Amino acid sequence: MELSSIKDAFDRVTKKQKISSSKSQEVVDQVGREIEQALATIQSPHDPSSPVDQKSALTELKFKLNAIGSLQQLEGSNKELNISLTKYQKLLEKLLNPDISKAYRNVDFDTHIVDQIIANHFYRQGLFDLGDSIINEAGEPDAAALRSQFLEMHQIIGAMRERNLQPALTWVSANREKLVQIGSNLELKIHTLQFVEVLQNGTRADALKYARTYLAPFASLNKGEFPKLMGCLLYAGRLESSPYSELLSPIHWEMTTEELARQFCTLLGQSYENPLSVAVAAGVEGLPILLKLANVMAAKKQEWQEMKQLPVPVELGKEFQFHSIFVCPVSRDQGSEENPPMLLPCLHVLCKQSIMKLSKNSTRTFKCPYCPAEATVANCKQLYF
Amino acid sequence: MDLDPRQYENLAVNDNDIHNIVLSYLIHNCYKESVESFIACTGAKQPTDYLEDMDKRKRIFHFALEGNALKAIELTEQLAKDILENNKDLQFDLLSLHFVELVCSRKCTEALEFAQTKLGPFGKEPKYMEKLEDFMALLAYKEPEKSPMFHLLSLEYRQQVADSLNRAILAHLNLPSYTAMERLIQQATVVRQCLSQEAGKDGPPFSLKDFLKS
Repeated sequence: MELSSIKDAFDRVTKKQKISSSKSQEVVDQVGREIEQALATIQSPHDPSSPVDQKSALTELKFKLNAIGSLQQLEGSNKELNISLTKYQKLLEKLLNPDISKAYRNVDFDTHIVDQIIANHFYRQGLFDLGDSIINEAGEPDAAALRSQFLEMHQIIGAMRERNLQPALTWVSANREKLVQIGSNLELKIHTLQFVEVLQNGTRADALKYARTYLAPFASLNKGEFPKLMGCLLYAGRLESSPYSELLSPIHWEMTTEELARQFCTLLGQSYENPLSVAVAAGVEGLPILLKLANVMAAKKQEWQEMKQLPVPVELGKEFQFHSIFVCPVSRDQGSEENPPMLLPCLHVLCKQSIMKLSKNSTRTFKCPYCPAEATVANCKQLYF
Repeated sequence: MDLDPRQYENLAVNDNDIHNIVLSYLIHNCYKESVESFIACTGAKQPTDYLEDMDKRKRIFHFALEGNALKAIELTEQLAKDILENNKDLQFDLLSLHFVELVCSRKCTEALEFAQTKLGPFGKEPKYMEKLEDFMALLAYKEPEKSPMFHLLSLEYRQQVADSLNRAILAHLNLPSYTAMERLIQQATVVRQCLSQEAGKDGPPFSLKDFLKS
């Protein structure tokens, strides 16, 4: 989007508006002064020998006001303001297409799914009353399936924000095996936070006991981190003036809290990023390209909604890429359900259509395009991304 | 073992020199009785200045080797007050030996207290930090002998510290820190390796153990 040209046009409008405003103020002040002067003349205590002629005072005022030419002055500056406003409006219409209906396809709109997405959006954010309200009104009791899990997550996070690690420790120990499977060291991180608290507020013996009970089991898995934690014992009660003072930084609490939320979602089979936010953000990023495409194709009398594939790529950032995409090295087509990637015995991968072409519709063996190996359609396996 | 391409059989070595080399080795390692027997057998000249502090050194060496570091420190300070003051590395190693001894005796609270008061000040210097952390990690294990830091409890580690202490005392007494025997063996090993490379042999590098067996 040409935001810089919009900004320039907007700056021009504000400049003209300021000029117009100050000019108007100037004219109003001038007129005001003349009127006040005329009033003062009329109201002054007259000398009986020279009676003031009210009519002549008003005539003089009228003459002076005509000389100021207030209307012409105001018209000039307002005209310039109107011109720049009109230009700005046209530029906005040109660059910011207000009608986004051109940029979406008419797909079946499933109200149930949308209700569930919105309810879960609120549950994720800890707005449980709001989520419940939507579910009740929409009559979607199934959508509450994740409510209890997200409630547990928010209770743990809430407790952590109040420096209470007990719920978090209970959760990590209950899910220890699953966390180990995904290569997580969250349990050690939470115990580290607790250990630092004990070091600061407990006795030396308490800290040693905590280390032996809860940190020792992680020694073999975290050879680098573990001795450092044990080194902290040298400075029990005075960690702030030790080489390990950075362990007291609140950032460790924030990062561990975020990591817990991420891994909680992972074990739930949910993404950490809010699906509704991701969908909106991706839509916003892709919208300008789609609008431009719609306009170009409309001018060419083509209907882009009929196309199976867009003629231009809609580049989204890495944060929007959740799945691997297969592009056949032979046909350059993107894999799909109808045309899935197939693994050849030689471990090279082509799309199904390319294999069918090479094998003359499964009638003969064919050579892999990337190595001398021979293959038949029967010994190719479909890959699932 | 192949003979060297260079001839060394015709090189005359004075028996007296060999006696002195062996004697200095025995004195260095505080083998007092062996020194006395050796002198009696060979009629070698008794180096009085060497023998003077051998008893004290022997006791210090053995205390360090047994892990009784506090006693070793006490005797070292009696012998030469400023040795440990001027050698922080050695001071740290000796104090850590005592810490290890406390850990092995399962006196964990005492060990922690000792570490805080005596080893803690070394933590200000990054070069001691990593070692300190390894020692502290021993406290986490119910059986430190089975911990990844088990080498800190080994005889080899105590031997290493005892050797360093012995060398420091010898240097303080203006005596050689390394024996002539040790230096000669090191030099001979290097020479043999160089000769082997010059001769272009592809065999294994020179090994002193193998050479002594042959």
